[in-house]
Amino acid sequence: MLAYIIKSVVGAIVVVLVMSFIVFGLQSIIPADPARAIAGPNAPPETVEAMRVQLGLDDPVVVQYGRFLLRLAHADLGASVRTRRPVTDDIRQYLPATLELGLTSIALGVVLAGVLTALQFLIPASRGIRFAMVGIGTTPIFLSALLLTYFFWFRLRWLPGAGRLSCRDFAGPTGFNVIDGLLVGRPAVSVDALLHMILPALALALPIGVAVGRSLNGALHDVMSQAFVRTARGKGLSETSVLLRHGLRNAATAPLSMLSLQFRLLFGNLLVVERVFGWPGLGLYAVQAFASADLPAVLGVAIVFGMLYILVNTLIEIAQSVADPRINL
Amino acid sequence: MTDTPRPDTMPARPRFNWRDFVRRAGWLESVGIVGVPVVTVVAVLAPWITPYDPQLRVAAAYLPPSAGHWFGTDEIGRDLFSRVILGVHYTWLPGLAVIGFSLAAGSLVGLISGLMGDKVDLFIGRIIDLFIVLPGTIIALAVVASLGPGLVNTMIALAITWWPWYARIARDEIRRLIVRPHVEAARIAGVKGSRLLLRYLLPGVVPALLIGASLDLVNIIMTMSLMSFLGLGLPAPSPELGAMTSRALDSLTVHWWLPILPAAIIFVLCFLANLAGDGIRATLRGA
Repeated sequence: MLAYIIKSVVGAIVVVLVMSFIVFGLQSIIPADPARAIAGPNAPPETVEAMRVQLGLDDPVVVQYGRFLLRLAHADLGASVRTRRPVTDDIRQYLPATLELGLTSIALGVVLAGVLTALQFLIPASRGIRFAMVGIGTTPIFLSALLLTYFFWFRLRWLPGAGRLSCRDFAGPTGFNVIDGLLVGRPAVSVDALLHMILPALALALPIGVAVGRSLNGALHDVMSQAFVRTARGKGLSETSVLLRHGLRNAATAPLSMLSLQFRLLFGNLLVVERVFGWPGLGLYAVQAFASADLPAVLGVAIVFGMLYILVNTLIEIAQSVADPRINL
Repeated sequence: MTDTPRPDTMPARPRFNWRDFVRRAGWLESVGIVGVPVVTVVAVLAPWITPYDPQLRVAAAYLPPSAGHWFGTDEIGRDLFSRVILGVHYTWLPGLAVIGFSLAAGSLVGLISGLMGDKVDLFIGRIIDLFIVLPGTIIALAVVASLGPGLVNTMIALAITWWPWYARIARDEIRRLIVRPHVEAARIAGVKGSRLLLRYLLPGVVPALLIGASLDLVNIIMTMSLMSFLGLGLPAPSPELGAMTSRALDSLTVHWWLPILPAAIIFVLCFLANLAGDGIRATLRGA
């Protein structure tokens, strides 16, 4: 177990190194001019030159990369060009909002996957359900986000469609509004935060639910036709017990792999959903950084997301080995 | 014995029968298999077949969808349907190009790895694994953001994160085939070099690669439109479907067709590509 943890920590470091290496390496191959992008197309050459010196872009890329790694070792991601604050401070401010939304949508996605699988068991071989699932699975995330806001917020007025809270001046100790509302004794804030989360979390959860649900359904069908399930039924176990203890556990590996694959897509989707719903998290921060060619901020967000991705992958692998002890970590 | 003997008892290669084909692929999947080439033709011809000039004011601004303007008109009175057709051009063709490039580069690396075996295979295999573990979308976004937005940069970034999947497919297939009896027999018979590769190995590798690529088309279209939505595609006036949606985001409650319809067309493209992928997998798997 210890060896496994060490292995995944090393893995996370390698991923961050390779990611930053690709970004810096490509910069040296492909001509790009962030200084010009920041100063604007009509800025006089002196301003651009000053900007270049200020950003350290007049040094060779190798020197820039070395400087970046050195600072990274001290958990320093540089200063954002747009907000003029250290990127680490910005990340600390915006990360809780993204974590709150991301974790909720993963949980919702897993629940959806369970519901879809149950539906397919109750109504077997339904072409309707199958094509609905293909349809949801191929809906671009911004279309589902837009349709959800359009109907549930604008048309029906059932749910809030923008931001995290209705009141502007709330700031709790953890940054997770749902928890903070309870901590400071204002449960109304928690409820409000939950209501604001429903639509964006649903938009993010739909593709996860469909993909994991399809995979779970396929795996369950395979497992339930195997001999040991017949034995379990034969010795008089109830169908629920067979399904949960013999079926689900043995079918867990493939859907868990699918969940980790979906996680790769979740980061991109988070950016879109936060943009559509005006959710003040890291995704929106990254989108704004794209627009202003804010390279330190972009790299900072990429590194945080990359590390989160490795962390979640590690957790999923542990879950797989718990479900199936034959998988050695 | 330089050529494969074909005994007289061997059945003649069956002629192509479209009924059989549709039955194997499924009828909706067949629609996808037909739809993908149709979309490709539309995408190629898009600049010449739009009903109106997509860059010019042709009617009043903000007309809702009607018989004259199927998708309505935008904020300066341009025909949205014409712009969406042109958008298919800018979304679909780069997607195909990225798939084609990743397929070519990936399978080349995979073939080299699989054929060389031993230490080379171990080394290349490690690199492939490393790239597969990397969170592709994040890297692509970071790369494009650092190089500056643009179609070519987007395509480079995506190809960098996409080739390892094909490399793995090609490598695994080669390793699987190379120990099969028919390859062994051919080797004993003295077949080697490019002939061994072309006649005995590649025919087994190509279906797997094609299945992978066809299932991947939907992913690449999705990712490209996502990047264009985030402002990392072509600069402002060009009608990429994702960018059209994102630029019209604020008018969702007033002029719903402006953001929704371009996004809906992306959905149609993805749906067709997905059906085609499933159909191609169903027909090639047994082949």
